[in-house]
Amino acid sequence: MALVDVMRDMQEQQTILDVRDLKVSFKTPRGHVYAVNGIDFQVTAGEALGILGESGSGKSVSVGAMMGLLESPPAMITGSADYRGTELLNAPASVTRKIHGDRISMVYQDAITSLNPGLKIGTQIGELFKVHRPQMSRGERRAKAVELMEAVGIHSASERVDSYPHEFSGGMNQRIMIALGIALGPDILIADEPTTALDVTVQAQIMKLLGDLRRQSGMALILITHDIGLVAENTDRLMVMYGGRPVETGPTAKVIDRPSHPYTIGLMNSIPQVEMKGQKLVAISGSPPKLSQLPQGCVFAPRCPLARDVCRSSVPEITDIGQDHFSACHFAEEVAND
Amino acid sequence: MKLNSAFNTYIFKRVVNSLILLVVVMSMVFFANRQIGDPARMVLGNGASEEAVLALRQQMGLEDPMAEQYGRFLFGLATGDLGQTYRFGMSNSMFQGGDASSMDTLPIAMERLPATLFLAGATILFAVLVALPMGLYAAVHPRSSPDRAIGVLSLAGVSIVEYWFALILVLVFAVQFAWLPTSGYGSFAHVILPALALSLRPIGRITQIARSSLLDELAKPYVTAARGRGIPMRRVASFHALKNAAIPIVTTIGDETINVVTGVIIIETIFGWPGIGALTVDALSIRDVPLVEATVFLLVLMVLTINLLVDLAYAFLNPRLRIG
Amino acid sequence: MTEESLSQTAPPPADDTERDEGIGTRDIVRALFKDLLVLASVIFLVALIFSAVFADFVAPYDPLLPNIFANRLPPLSTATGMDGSEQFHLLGTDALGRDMLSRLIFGARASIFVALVSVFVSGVLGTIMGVLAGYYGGAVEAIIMRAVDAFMAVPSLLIALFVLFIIGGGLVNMVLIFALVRWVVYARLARGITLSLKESSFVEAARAIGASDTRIMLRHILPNMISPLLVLATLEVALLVLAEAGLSFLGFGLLPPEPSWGLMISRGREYMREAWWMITLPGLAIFLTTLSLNLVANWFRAVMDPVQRWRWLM
Repeated sequence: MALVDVMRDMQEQQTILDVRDLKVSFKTPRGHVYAVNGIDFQVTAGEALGILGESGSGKSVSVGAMMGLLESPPAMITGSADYRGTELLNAPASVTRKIHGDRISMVYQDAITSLNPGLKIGTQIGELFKVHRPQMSRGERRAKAVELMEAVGIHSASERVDSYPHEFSGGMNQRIMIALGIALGPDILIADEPTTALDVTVQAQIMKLLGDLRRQSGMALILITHDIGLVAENTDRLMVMYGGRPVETGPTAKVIDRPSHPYTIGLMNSIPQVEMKGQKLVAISGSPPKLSQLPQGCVFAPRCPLARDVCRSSVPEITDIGQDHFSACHFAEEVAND
Repeated sequence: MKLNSAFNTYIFKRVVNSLILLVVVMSMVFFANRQIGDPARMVLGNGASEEAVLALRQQMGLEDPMAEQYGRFLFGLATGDLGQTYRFGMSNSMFQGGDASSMDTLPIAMERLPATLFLAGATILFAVLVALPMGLYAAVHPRSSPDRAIGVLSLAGVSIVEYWFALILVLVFAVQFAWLPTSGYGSFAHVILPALALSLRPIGRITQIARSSLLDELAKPYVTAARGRGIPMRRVASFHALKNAAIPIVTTIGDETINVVTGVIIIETIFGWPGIGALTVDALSIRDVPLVEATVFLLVLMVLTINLLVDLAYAFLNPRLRIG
Repeated sequence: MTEESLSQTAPPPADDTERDEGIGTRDIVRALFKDLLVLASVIFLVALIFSAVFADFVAPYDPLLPNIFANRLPPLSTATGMDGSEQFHLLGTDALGRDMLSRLIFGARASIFVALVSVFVSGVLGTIMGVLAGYYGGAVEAIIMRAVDAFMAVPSLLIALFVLFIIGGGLVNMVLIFALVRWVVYARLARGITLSLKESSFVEAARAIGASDTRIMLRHILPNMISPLLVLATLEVALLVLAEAGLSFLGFGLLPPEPSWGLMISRGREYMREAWWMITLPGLAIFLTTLSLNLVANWFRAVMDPVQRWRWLM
């Protein structure tokens, strides 16, 4: 192995984002809503991390906290999110502004509402350079916008750069969102439900595009979704969240192969699969937890088919069950072997 | 700018609607005015003989059938002839600076138009320049102390009696300190007090609407997305959100311009401002019906023009109405 | 953005059951005590309405009784009345020596009476028109909304001024003209709400079980527009207090010797150089009244608005 390759290998192992004990709660008239209750995760350069959970699991709020999108108050954010030595949580806007959109960027769920309806596409892409690369000229910015639109697969970009979002289809708008996300060559691209609003065929195209761009540029991807199929195909590592806490983390393949938390199992059983043809789909009983009144023990206990007394009284720590695979279940081994 | 045909049709409809409305309003004014007494007697005074009154009535066409009179009125409306003022002898003193030989009401009223347009224009310009930055600041810093102060101040602005405030201004700045003239027309100093008095309500309303529509806009996903791209909040508010929030703001500016055009009726009287408003009050007070018709015609025409301008402004603000 | 709101204006609702919870009277009262300015406004308005209703008992002197020996006395003056008794004029006297405070209290009665009755008449009329237009659509709607558009296109004050010029001023005419020009704002609001409610599931359900049109409008649609209508009506009371003052000032409104706030300003103008209180006090009375009404309406709207509500209850 050449030295260059070794160095690149080391580089890729380098942790670029380190999130520790992130907690987010919201002050509301009816008391506090505990949206995120202590999560830890690391992102190493170039990897694809999936964050899986249903609505209310805290996955988007965690990312919102890191991206400075939560207004405080009412949001109360504690913990730390360290990007290459820069703290992102509760940091002054003058500091985070240089990172958000530049080093860490984000693609949102609903492209058409996430683009300004009143501005031309070229203006919106160009603005990113205007703000983060002020030395660029107007002509250079426009050329970059066209180049980026071509890179995400928009034909005759030089003409369509002057179009407005409503003149594009949903899939095309999502491509434009991605162009905005990769414009400055970020280290991390966060995609928050990037395909939920799209048709199935377009979904596949968008995920392929994200994968190709990631391989070309070597950026890391954080894919936030409720779709277990999507993470299975597109991520290296996986964090399953429930009630604002991670319940299971590990290499994606391992987690899918050998789920070690009843919630993950429940999620997997609730999606239709070809090999399960003829079997009944099993929905997880009950409803997601009330984030204003979290149960005393394990958050999932009220819905867990395996819950015992200990689950209702003590919160399970997230523990190593071997080979970089962690589970926050008192009976992780048992569940995994079941 | 190229506009699409749907927009052209829309504007055409609005123009036709406005013209119909103008004719309807003027017709109502016409019939209402016939109810307030005999114009011939008003012209000749109470001492005139029955014969003289009858002769003048015939001369003025008041003995003709109503349909014929109305027809003449409509024809006059179309050709810009709204009749002659009743107060033959008074024109010199009343219509200061005007062409005293002309008895036609429309030219008399038209002469007053520039003064009113100047006052209304100065008022709205000042109001917008004050209100927009306040609304913008309040929306970007919701629930801060300045926001609360701006909120109470803008409510105070819409709660004040304009002419009372005008009089208090006169009392303080013209009488007490003698910094500004109490009334009159001509220099920049003359416009300050009337414009200030008229601007409070527009400032309050435009600030409120600017704040609330901007707040609505700032809650939209594209704003979150823009902030997530590291774009400074000030730029997000002024560059992204303001343009999209502009439609309700422009509507309010239009409404408030209309209110100012109505408000001049009282304010011009107080400041001796030689505009349409003061003329309307004069004409009403001496029951000069054709002159009232002429001033009402111009006031309604101004209102309809402002509404049309607002409709046109929508086209510039909404890209969907344009061909890209 | 995902279903978990990243919006900067509202925290994500904890769950579905909490989202649909209504707002109770207790919540409103509790919120009221957290905003002292609004609380002060409510207290002021209650005191004002009380003294307007019981003006005969509250006012220290007869508002119409002149005293030639005590004209244009500044506030906090003492004078000998026509009957020889010692009289204290807290807010001074006017040009005829009439007690300012008593005139302001009786003036409140006239101004507020005109505004409240006009708002009631125009509100009821406009709401009926708006609900009918929204519910039935078609020709009914076309006729009503055409009239609304026409009234909205010409400034109310201009119409009011012109009609009062024709029919003359006075209390009854003023109420009539205000009702005539202002019903349209309620009609527009009521129609809008009716249109959105007409499609709602509970109205469809009521129709499915055979409820009559009248019953649906009265029992299902009307109750759901009470709070926006109340907000609008409060703002309209403020607007009409101002309008009454303007028209009375021009001589087309209430007629002397009726003590109305507008007339008092108009009279005070003649003496504004010598007796500042004559013009300042009635104007301040109007200002405080309309400001209180606007503050309360604004606050009530915010409390009733599901998006903004949480802020005010905090």
